[in-house]
Amino acid sequence: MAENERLSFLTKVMRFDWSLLIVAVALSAFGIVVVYSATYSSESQDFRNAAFSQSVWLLLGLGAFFILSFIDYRIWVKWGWLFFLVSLPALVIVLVVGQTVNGAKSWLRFGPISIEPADFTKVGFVLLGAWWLNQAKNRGLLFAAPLVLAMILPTILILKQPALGSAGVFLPLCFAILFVGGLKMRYVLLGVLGLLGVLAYAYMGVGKLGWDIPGLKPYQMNRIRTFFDPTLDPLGAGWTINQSLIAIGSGGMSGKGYLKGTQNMLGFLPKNISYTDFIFSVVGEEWGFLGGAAVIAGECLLLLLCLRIAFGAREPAGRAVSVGIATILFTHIFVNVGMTIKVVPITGIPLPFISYGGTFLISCLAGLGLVESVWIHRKAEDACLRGT
Amino acid sequence: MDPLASRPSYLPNLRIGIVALAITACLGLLIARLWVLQVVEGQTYANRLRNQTTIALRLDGARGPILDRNGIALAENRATYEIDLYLDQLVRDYPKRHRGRVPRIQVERRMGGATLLRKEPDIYRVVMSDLIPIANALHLEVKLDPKELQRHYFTSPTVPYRFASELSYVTVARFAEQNLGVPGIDVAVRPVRHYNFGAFASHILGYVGPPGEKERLGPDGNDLETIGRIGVERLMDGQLQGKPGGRILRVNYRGYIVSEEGYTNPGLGASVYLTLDARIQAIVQDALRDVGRGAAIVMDPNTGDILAMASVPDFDPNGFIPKISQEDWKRLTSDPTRPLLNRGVATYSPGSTFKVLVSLAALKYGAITPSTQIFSPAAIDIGGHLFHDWTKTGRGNITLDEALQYSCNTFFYQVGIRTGIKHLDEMASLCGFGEPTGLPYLGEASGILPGPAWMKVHHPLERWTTAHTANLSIGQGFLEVTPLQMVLLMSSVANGGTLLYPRLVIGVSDDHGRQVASIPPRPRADLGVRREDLNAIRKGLLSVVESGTGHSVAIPGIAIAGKTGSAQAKRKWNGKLYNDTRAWFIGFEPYDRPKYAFGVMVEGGIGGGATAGPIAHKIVEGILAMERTGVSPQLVYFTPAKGNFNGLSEIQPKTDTTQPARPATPVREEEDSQEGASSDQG
Repeated sequence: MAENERLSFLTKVMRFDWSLLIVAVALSAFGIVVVYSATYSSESQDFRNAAFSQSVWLLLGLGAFFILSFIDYRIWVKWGWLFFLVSLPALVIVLVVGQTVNGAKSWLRFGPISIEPADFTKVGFVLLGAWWLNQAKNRGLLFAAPLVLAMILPTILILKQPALGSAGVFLPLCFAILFVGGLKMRYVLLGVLGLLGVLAYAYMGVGKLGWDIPGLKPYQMNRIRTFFDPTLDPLGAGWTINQSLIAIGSGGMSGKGYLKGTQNMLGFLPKNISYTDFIFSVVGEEWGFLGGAAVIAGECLLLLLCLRIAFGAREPAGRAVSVGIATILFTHIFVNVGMTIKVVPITGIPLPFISYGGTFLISCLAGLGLVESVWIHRKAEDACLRGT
Repeated sequence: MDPLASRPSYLPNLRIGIVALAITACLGLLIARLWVLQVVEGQTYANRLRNQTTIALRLDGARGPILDRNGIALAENRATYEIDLYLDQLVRDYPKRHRGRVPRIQVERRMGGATLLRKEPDIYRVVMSDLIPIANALHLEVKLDPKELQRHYFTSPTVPYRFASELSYVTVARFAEQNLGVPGIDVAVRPVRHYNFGAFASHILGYVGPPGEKERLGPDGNDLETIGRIGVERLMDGQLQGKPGGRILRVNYRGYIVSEEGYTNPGLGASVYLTLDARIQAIVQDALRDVGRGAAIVMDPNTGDILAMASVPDFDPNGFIPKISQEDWKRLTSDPTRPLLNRGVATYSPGSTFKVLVSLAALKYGAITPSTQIFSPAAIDIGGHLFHDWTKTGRGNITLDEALQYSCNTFFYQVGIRTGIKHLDEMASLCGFGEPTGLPYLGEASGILPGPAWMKVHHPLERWTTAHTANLSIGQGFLEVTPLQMVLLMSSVANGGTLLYPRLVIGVSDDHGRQVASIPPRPRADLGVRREDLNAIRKGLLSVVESGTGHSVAIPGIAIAGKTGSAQAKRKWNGKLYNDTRAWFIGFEPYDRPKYAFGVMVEGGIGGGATAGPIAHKIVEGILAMERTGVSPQLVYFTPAKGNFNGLSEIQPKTDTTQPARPATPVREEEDSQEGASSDQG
């Protein structure tokens, strides 16, 4: 570790992976452009300023990105268990004094800023996983079980809010860290089988036979049911998905043009979510298949860049951080885009870099900063090894 | 920390590769799904988008006008203000405006034979929740039929439902001032039918009304606003119907209209030009309106054009707009004088006017010649019964023209018998008796042309005898004709022997004034009567007015020809039997080159010369004055002519039955049971 500090700032700058930054900034810039369109016809003032605010958030986020990039990630990993533990009380507090947005008590308000503690827990869990990789001796059950248990606690707390989408991030995140961390193949297969079982249960049981999922609130059950059949309640729960499908579908190959999306402009896409969780519907309507596919491809490129850094990392914690952050982003992308085009049920989860939302944008960029840090400090690891 | 003491038991880079593959595959799946959604199924969603962001509204076109032959509009449109309910929009807005779900109701619907229970928006509750505050502010009474509303919503959700019509300007102004409308409740100005002169040619024009359940759909598959019920409105409904236009409106998610995408102007329906001459119609209606019940027709004998046709009593068709009230309808239909009946095409016993036809048949088939003299006493014996003339003295040896002049019955009994029923019927058929003349939707009756064959069908127990023929020869017995048929007969005599179909519609012009259809005059048959024979009849008819039974029609300096008729009919009224004589006059003028043929028939008259003659006189006088001075009678708003039974004279029950039993006196099961009378007084 002592070697790390020997890396001069200049060396770090020289090692900086610009491609990650460029893709992230390009996506964020496009996000601001779409947010402007999504809020264009809104009468309300808070909507009007959204694009400008998002630009400010982007600058702040870039600051976080650079700071985290140049700090050795291993410092965070060393205290990873602490970050995770500290984030848990925040999840309890938010249940008590949190602010309710779209039916979920997910936000803590500090004056003008709102923070979603679940975002921190996700990053905390990544650091916890990275830390644990270094601690665990074998790669069997004793390796997997503590991490799975650690995952269950925040999942339950976040489900209490209830934020189904956020809670759903932990399962793939945990799985990805364990998998890349070297979990034995038989347990991996067990996990895959379990996942397939859940999918089959969801599709056959809930979708076709109409079973209830124990522990879910009626409105969540409704959302899932209308996912399978949007005509069940075309003016209620099915409204959003129907309007999203119409918006995207009618966009066609090349879209209706910037600021010309009828669904968006006429308010068929509800105004309060079209610039956050349903931003992709606006992309699909105004930019068409070409725009939508480009956004997905851009996000995909970003994830692959993260994985390339995981590739380059020479130690498990660095891999865990890169893969973990990539998985968090991937889950958000897949669930968010998937819900607008009826691949997964609707859950309140934003699209990284595109959706409006200050803390989320900063969180994403900060996460990328961690990944960048892994890249910058990868050589230091060699030095560290040589040193011992 | 003991990092990587030994080589790891797994290949981390392979696993990262697998993760990369999984991520790429998943996002690839999203792109594939996006492709299906936007490129493969894109059109479907584009259509759905169109459906939800636009509403198509049908705009009804105004009905075309009905004009007289000189272009005077008899039926037009006037503007009315009304409140329309756009049910579709109200339902769509309900959740947003009332923060709740649209109330639903279970409705029975018949679909393809099966009766289904459907859950539909409870349109009554939806409407009431928005309408009550508005109605209260305007002091309007809300009277809506939930069933009717539900039906309208089901069958034609995009056609506005009319909540209140005939609003006053004050109400409309208040609505606009206080900005009371909500999307879906609007004030609209709508054209409705207006008959400019009230009870004017009302039996011919007819009226319009809202379509019934089964007639709702127009030829374009859309609901019709109104349809022609009877008369020309019905006959020419297809032409008069306005051309529907439409609006395509773009709405936002609340259903508020944000812009208009397309607009097609509704077009005025075609103009229908009638053969009627409003000036003559006014003259005729003025002349006729004093009688209790009757009809008068003026025709151009050269074309068959109906220049005027009036029937008393009549009605104001504006009372039918937009919808006649129950009480008014009941009053019109239960009135014993039957104001809705067009007496010009209803059937009556023609009396002596039918002698014109008998003369034509007799001459055509050679039974007599113009110079044939026939001894005509006061009465003659036919088949053991005495047949009387209306004079007690008889006329001695007379020829046809004299017989016509004095309307001598005993002459015509013999002529009829000489001609034979076969030839009489042949001639009468040729002239169109016993069948409609071809004016649909005017309520035209066929009349009855009796003969041996007819007898077999309708009175199988009786046989046709010469007595029946004799009775027919003076226009009595079973025979029934319409005034229109008689005027057509008179026209053929006037024009030199051509029978015509009556013409009521000249043509149709579109709303730019271009003629799109014209209906030419149509000859029906040639009488087949020799010129000199026809002239003999014409001479006889001339002397009727000059010095015969029709002298009351005469106007100095103008040659008028014609024939009177008085058919005695009996009517039971309040349990008593009355004489209800049908007084006729049919004729034409001027004698040399006839321009007008006319017929007057009055129920409850004294006699042809006494009752119908003066009316015919008035009509001809009016027409002549108009032609001479060029001043048209002023067209005013006509109030309906009232009917009455003033002309009835009670028949004292006879104690002695000296009157010989006569062959079959027809008794018709009609509202007024009438009996063919025995005597005819010229």
